[in-house]
Amino acid sequence: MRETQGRVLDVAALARVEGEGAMRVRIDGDTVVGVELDIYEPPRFFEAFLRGRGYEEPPDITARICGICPVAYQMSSSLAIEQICGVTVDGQLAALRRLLYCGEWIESHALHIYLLHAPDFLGYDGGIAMARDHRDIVERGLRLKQVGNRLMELVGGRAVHPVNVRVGGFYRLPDLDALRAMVPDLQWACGAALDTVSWVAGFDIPDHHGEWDLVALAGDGEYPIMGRRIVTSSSPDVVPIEEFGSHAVEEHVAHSHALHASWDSRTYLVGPLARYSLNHHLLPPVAREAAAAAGLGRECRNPFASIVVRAVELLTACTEALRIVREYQPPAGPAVPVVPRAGVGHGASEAPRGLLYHRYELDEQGTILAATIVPPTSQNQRAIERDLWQVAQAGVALDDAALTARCEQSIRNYDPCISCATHDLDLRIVRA
Amino acid sequence: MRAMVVGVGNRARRDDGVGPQVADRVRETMPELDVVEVSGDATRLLDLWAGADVVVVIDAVRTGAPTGTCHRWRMRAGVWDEVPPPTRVSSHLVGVHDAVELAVALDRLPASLVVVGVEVDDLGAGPGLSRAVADAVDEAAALVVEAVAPG
Repeated sequence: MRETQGRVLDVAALARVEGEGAMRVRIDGDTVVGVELDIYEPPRFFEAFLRGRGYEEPPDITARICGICPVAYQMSSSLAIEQICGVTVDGQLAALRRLLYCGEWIESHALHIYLLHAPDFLGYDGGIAMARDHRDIVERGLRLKQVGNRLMELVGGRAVHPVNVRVGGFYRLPDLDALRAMVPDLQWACGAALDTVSWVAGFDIPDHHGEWDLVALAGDGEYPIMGRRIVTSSSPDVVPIEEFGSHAVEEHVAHSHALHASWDSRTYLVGPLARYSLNHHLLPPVAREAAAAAGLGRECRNPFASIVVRAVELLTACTEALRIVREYQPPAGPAVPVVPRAGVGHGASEAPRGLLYHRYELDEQGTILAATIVPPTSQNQRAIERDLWQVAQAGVALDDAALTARCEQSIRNYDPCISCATHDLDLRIVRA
Repeated sequence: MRAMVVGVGNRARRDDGVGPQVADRVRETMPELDVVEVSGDATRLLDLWAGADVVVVIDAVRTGAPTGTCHRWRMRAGVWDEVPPPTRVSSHLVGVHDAVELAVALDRLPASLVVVGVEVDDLGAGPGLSRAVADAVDEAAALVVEAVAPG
């Protein structure tokens, strides 16, 4: 295929990134002169769709945005609405929310580690080819995923688009016996997650240093999943989530349909590397020890090592889930009452891919006047693009096939969620 | 014989919701049938169909045929009867085709597997199907019922 004067390599779609998207690398001689990434269409439709809806609807509606992280959308939206209504969900209800969220982390991280990312390091085209040679390992990944799915079903009502979540808590409490029956599976999962850390730590991981700021929720005595404060690598200041919008700015760039975000005018990254580096001290001891044994320092800025960090977070989620199930005492009711009132509320939680921010404005009847949703991949797009520029420049001597593979792996390092894009991911290298 | 029907797709992505909507129609016709919905990651199929003998999966596809065209692909004992579905059969993370190939590699296939694909057009955000896709729901549901009907 020809384009202008340059050579264009048309490669297969990036099937192991969720959804579809587009990426183009332009090379002039030995110099990368352009990297254009157009992978994410922000959920503007849903923001518009929410206007005029009732205050209790965002968890159900926004859960539909992503098939992989519906719980993240439910939690960020619920937290924002609850803030407006002056409601705090705490105690065992908050623990159940964390348990549900752990299920989503387990499901998402196991999928990415085993079926999407590991094949890159082991020289396979994908998880299917890897499964033919490493059947037991892939089965372990699928079983971990299944444990996450079952937690989501038990607490959330259904593994995909959990229907049991509402503003204020849940419609029904989970069946106590069924929850306790999860203990042996969660014990197995903790062991399997520990084995996962050892397994990925043995991969040949390229050395690379990402140049971006890190942004994550601050943990409040535990590794962050839901919270109201944000920490960054660039400043000792703790930012309340109410001020998210004055730090994170989204703007249009010429080559992309997506908005590119910056934090205080600087490129930044959310997700496992940011969470880990900013909250290392809050990892459960078993996860901290596993990270050290895997050779991770207190901070990790190597995107290729994100697979190891994800494995440490997988272990964290399994450990937390087991703890919550063991300590669980049914609360008095499945939800706290929520009475609507006018106001503005902010909610944030750590989706598997990073910080997911929601903001809502309600009138006195609880009708939504405005909604803003800022997902992690939309925030990371600029950091991914910058990183790809470096990776492409470092590999400029490679032939097109090898360089394409390296770029694809680099995109997968970030586990971007691009399911909202409506075009195939078309990765091209253009040499002038 | 245990039969199961799985509608794959996201109802909030226009035509991608055709799988779940065909599943709804099948549920109306055969309320006793095990009918479930999967959105996003199709590797869940492997867990869902464990123990089922006959599985019908409905998915949105784009093969180049006119919008609303219904396809039927059948796999028995790990071999497609006819020309197999295209690799990128759907818009999902790990698509139905990938999930089937994974099941082949791991020896986790049902004895009989049918994929009913409906050719789609609009995968934008929002509920509701394109006219041509909505018009194809009955035909697709009939293909599903035919595939699970005893005898």
